[in-house]
Amino acid sequence: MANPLIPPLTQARVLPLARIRRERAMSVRGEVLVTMGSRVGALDVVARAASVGHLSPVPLARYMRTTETALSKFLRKQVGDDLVARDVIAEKPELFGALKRAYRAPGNGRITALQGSWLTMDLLDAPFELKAYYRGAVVNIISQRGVIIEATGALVEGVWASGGEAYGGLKKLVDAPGGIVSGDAIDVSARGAILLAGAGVTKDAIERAIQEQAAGLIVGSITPQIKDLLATVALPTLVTEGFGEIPMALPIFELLARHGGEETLINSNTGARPEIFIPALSSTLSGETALPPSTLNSEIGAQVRIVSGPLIGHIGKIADAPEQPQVLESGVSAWGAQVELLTGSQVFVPWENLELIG
Amino acid sequence: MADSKLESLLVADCGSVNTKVGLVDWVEGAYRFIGAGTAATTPDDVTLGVRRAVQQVQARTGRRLLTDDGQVITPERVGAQGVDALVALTSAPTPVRVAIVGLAREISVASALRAIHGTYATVVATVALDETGRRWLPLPEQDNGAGVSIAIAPRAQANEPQPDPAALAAETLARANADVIILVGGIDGGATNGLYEIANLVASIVASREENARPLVIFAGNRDARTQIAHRIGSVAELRVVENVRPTMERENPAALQAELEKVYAERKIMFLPGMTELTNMTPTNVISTARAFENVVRFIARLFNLNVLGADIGSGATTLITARGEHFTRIVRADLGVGQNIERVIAHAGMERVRDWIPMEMSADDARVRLLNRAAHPRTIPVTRDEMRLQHAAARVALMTAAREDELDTRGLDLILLTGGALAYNTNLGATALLALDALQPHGVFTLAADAFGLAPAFGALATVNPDAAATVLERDGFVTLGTVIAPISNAREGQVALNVKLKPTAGGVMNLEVHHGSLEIVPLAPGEKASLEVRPAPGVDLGPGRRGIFKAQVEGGALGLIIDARGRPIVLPTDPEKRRAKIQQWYWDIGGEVNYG
Repeated sequence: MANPLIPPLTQARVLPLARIRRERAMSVRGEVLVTMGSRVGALDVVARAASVGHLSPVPLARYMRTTETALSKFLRKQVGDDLVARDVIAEKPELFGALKRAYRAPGNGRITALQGSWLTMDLLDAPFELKAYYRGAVVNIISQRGVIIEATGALVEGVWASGGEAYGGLKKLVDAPGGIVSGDAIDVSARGAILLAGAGVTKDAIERAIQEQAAGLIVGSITPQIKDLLATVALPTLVTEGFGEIPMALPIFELLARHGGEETLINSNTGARPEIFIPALSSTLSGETALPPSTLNSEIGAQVRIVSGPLIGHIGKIADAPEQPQVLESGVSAWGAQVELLTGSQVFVPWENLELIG
Repeated sequence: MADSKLESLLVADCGSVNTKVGLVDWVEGAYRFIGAGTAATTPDDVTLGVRRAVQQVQARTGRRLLTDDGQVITPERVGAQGVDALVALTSAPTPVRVAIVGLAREISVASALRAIHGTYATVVATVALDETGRRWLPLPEQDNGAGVSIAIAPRAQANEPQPDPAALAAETLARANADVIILVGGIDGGATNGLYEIANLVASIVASREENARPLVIFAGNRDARTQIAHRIGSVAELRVVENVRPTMERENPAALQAELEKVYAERKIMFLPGMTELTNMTPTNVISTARAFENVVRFIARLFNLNVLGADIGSGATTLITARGEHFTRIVRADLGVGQNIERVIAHAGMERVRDWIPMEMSADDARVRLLNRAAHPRTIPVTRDEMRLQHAAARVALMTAAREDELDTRGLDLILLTGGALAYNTNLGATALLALDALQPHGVFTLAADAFGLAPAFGALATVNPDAAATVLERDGFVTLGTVIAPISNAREGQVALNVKLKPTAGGVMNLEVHHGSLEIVPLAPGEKASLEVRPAPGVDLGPGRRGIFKAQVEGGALGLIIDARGRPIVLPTDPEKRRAKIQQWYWDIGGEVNYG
């Protein structure tokens, strides 16, 4: 029976084999290119839209130097009409017909609204293609938007990410979870790869990774300077522990290191925690492969990670759940656990500063 | 026995990161707070977090509150199992995304912005006609062969005309993807033409969206334009009309717009929170916002004791400041300033240096930012070390100061300041809490300072909707810890000059005379509940607030800290030299007992 004094803790999932379902959908309407039940590869396009849309409102009455009530007389196109760049939308004779004032379409698209003096067009942007990224089976179709894919593989949840999605072969750059990657560790073989670092990366490592066109980066922690740098460059990055210089949690490093060279996805657009997904090789799956449980229980003996304070990033096990709160050095009176660290020592940690890991 | 039939109650406050639950019951002739529990808010199903927090209450109080399958037992069964009712409040939904379209940035748009800072809303775009050329100046003309033309060339062409500020502003608005567009402008009875122009713009953008994705439009401008605005917008979007937010040049009227936004938050955010339908079915009343519930608390206490009250709630995602003076109240909700997931926005808004200004120990900007970033990544976490707490309190000071300054909080003539929020919950270091409030709000005069005992003060405001007696009793007896009476003069004295002579005669006996110097912070022991006669003689040029000229006499009550005399002047001036500044702040921590835990 569960210990009532132990609250359900959040879990950072580090799963060697999991079956997950992920929605892949576009924000605009388009065409779904795959059918229910079909198998998709990571780089297959599952949906396509002619444009992601670009609403462009213009003060047409003013442009035509007329009033909103008189504007309709000069219109050559109506709401709903398709537009080709430079189509005349409105035309008005001036100087007794000697000259014409015209408003032409600034691009291909469609007139979506004319309200009084303002006209709004939906101009076509670049076509958009949605990739599957999760290699698996299509289990649902979202009409005109996308699909839901069921996929099997290794799953690791991170703490922070930037840059969206990236897919490539996993390239290990360090031998231990505490390793720091600098620029000289990155060479031409980084092209198209997801780089695996340890406790951190230097600024020149980021610059070199971009120069060599790496697909993405997985790292234990980053400094504030690297965080600011990542906001200005195109290198999708996933952080597993936090900020500063924190070694990657050993279970995460060991799991990822085992998959060196395999195709790997990092995704920060999950709506929840960012995640790493490594699709299972078909040779490791046979029929209805039994999967280990994906949810851990908050109980004595459970593996936990400390997510705040001087021991941030440390892993241990819940050894005891004291019945009374304890006053911390900070002055806060908190309920928590006695956690046995890997070193064998025990520390009191508030429940709020712990998460299950595994 | 109380009149109400709902005697045993659970109150659940579903915050942006924590769900806190408190148990209140009728015990030996009075309503009492029995116990509390906290769990992580569960965004996929808010009821799960509530049940987990109730489970904590059950474990800590020994009272059975949940069925075997985890449902809250209501109504109460024989043997004190379950409760009569559960009431809930929340600040978990994302704020309402608001775009403001108005005529003048400094007038109507500014008034709308202040009204928006009365609920959980963030501004995603502002378009002011006066910034787009006022008269919507025409584009530069371009020879098109056949005659004069103003056609915009395809965007790829090199001879693209200068961008039209009106069209650029309009594109910003179209891209903003707002939940609500607020249309303001014009004083009542003033010109309307400009308003119709921007109403056309709003209508054109709104009509371009799919029907189920169109934003709501609220009109809070010149009342004479209502019919035309309804004609232009009403046919393409849901339009709500409220009183003009700026009826005259001299007068601002934010209340109606604030109330409408609060309603929108309830209808479109709270009710769409996953699990909210189930939670609402468990409660006898609607689930209200945390800010609204806290407003209930502040106004209730102001009315009950006839006091001018300020309530400050420093949460993970939002900072809320409520004042109540008689029937008049103000509400500031800054959904962009918090000390958890929004801590980076506090830094971006005010700058890391302003946060470091309030840290008593040496800490590099990098170290401070690393710690705050880790807190933003895990906003539920509790500071473990003294340094972490000092840093968090420094950030809380800046969040409060920013909200108070930008939204023009009036701290004059206050009788009582109430403090609550995740940044203060379960903190036994009461001196540090008091110092945080005095530094951040810098109120002056003579007033009482009290801190939320369990982080549940807003929840008791929601409790008042089903059982006002229980709420009143619990708030008075258990809800707050009185830190003490504060004397905080304004003074033009120099550091070290005598600012006040204080004489304190406790009813228990004895007399204490104290000479207080400008720049100092003094604590005079006076136990909670203990009364004393206070006599304060201010030095020339020292002001204790309106109506307190000459010798000030009053009956005061003690608190956990005692009588607090804050003679640092207003505004508090920090030394510019970093080392001296840190030493000064550390001195204040020592002076106010901020190094003592009262647990």
